[in-house]
Amino acid sequence: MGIVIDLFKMKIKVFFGSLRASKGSLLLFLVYFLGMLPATIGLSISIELLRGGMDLSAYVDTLAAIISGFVALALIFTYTGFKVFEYEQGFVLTSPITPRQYLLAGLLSDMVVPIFFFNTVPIFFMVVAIRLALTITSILVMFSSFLFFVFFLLFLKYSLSIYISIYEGIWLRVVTSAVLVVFLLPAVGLFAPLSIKYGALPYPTTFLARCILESLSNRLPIGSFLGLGLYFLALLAIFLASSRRNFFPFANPIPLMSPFDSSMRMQSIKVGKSMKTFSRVGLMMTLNPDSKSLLRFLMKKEFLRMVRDGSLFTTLLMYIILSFIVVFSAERGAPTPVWLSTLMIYSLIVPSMLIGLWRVVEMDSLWIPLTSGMDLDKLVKAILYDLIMIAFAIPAVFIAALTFSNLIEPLMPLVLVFSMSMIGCSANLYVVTRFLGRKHRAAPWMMISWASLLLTALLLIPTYILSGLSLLLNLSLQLNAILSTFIIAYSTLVFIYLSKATAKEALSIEI
Amino acid sequence: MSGAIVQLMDVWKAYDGVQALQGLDLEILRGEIFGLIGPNGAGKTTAIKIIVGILKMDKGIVRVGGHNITDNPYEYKRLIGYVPETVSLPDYLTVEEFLTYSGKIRGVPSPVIREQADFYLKAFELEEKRKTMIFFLSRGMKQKAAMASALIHDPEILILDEPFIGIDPAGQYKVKELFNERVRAGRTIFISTHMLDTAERLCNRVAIIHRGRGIASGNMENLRRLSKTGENTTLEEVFLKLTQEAVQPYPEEQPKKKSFSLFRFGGR
Repeated sequence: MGIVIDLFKMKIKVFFGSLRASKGSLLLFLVYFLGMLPATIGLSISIELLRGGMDLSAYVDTLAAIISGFVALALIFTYTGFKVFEYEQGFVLTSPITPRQYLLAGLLSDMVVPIFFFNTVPIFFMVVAIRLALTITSILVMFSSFLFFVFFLLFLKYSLSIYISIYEGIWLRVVTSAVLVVFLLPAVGLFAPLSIKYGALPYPTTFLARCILESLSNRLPIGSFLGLGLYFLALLAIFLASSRRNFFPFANPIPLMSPFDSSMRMQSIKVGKSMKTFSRVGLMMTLNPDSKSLLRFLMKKEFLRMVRDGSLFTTLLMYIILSFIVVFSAERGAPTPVWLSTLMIYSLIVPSMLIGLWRVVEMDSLWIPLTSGMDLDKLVKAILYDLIMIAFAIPAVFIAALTFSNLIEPLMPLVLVFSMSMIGCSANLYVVTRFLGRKHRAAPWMMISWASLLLTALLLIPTYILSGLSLLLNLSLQLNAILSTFIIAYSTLVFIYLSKATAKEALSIEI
Repeated sequence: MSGAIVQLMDVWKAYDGVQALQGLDLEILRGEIFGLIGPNGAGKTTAIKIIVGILKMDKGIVRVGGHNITDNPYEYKRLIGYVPETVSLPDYLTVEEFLTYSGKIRGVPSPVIREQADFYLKAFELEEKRKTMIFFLSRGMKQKAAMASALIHDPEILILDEPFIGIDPAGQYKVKELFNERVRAGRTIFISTHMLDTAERLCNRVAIIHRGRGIASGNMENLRRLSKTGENTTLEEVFLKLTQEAVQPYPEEQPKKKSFSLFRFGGR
């Protein structure tokens, strides 16, 4: 067992590597925790409101469908066989460790790592247990059924990927796909008339849904709990059988996948794949030295980057999906706030995604502008102008198209997107620039993104309030125009301040 | 050769309490190929990064082309071309676009950029790759592209950290030829390297640093004299003797007063 614990400790240390290396990331972790807290408490209170005296077992189908989604994800991950991190292939699989020891260490690690990300879950359960006055037995049943299911998922993922690696044949993937369809099929019943419902099927996901919902009503779901236990035992037997097989020679090495990996090798590989894909289209445009102004030249260079690394395509794709949502919801008579809130989420995510990609692509070649003696203010402006252009222009085109189709009223959505792209891009770039220097490079990208999103959201509060007023009070066009002017002026001021602060920050970057 | 183009005077730098440079003095003269050698962790890359302005020193004075880099941190950069130890380039640009970018951000006029790009693409045998995205280049080719970009503005001094890593022998030969041509044209080359035989054959003068301090500098004759080795000893033998003699514990903390340096570099 000693070797399993040692390997487990090493896996944890490698996974959280850069989080331990930087003091800044500990502060970011605190920001993450505090940021999650309001949502957690809000969600736990909403559970109480949801119960509100009604029978929670009515939600079995919905909850089982959501849980089945996780099973489907686990199954999809098995398609490419058993994956090991590159460092493990080099140092662990070449040691006398047995496959079972390796798998046990992996199981432990897979159990511990999520605790970090879902660190507010205990608070969630505490609030739920107190507000719903749950008995100790109900809490225990809910907790242990959840554990049974997590192990069920992990055993399934490990065993299937091992067999897929060893046997390689297509038939195992076909069986996996069939299982995936079987798991997801009843979910169709939630949207369309279909007689198959999760509630009537002996699925592990149904059992877990029942265990959770009935425990919340202080009832004992003995049948479902036993059913889940049986699934757990069956998968345990399969896992034990598969762990006897020497799958080491068949394992696929992959770079470390950790949100705390400061080398960002995985993201670099993904961007590299995008570059290969988009190089043909991207090479139709070229960068020549004839631009009169340096700013225009740098903007063109940034635009080329976004075309060639796939940033532009990804943004386009996201807004195409959004336009489908809008058309679908408008046809079904959904109120404006439904799709407007989707647009707001998009506009919050797009600048973060664009700056994240910029960081992956440009971080290591920053030495070029920094050693050139160029005016870094121009570089910052070029990056921001391009990003804002993309983050604003693409949704603006979609909003225009939807306006012509008489599906939406354009003023407030346009102003919202403008404000969110101006504030989002400048806030994200500012935060990312603060973490570019060698002192803070070890800060994990996930935490940096989180801090950027938080700053963006805080700076957007005035925008949210003004646009919310417009929607709630159903204001006239003239009043809306006045509110819009305020929002635009405020966003422009934030942009000017942050772009100057970013350029100042860039001057002190040490590599 | 006339006058110093780069001067480091009593330069100190610490990383998280560990002293990387401890009162380093260096003087690089115009029109020479100057080599900086030292064991791993000696402070070579730190010294170079301070000179090119991507790392701040804790204390000391650095002058490049007469500019004090602390007082004027931008203007002097037009005088330098730099290639780091680990070359990372904007993969999404073609080789030609990358050279254009390097020229543009240094204020080189467009016709000169085209002319220089043509010249260096030919010199580094990258003509066929002109329209190829950097992403698709081999490591050696990327290194050559980085060198071409560092030369696009015809800098007074070319600063290269381990310039021969990843380049094949034929490529290395070409690069050395190019260095010699530039020196003949009055330009300066400053390289940091672990390849002692290359440094011995290529450099006019060499400085050996160890644990952040300069322990010797000069031409081979001076170094042999300082190390008290024989007339036919190689740089490798001189280096090993001097670095073994220089082993001494790190000082606890940076002294407040200016330290006394036994070896003043740059003396002729």
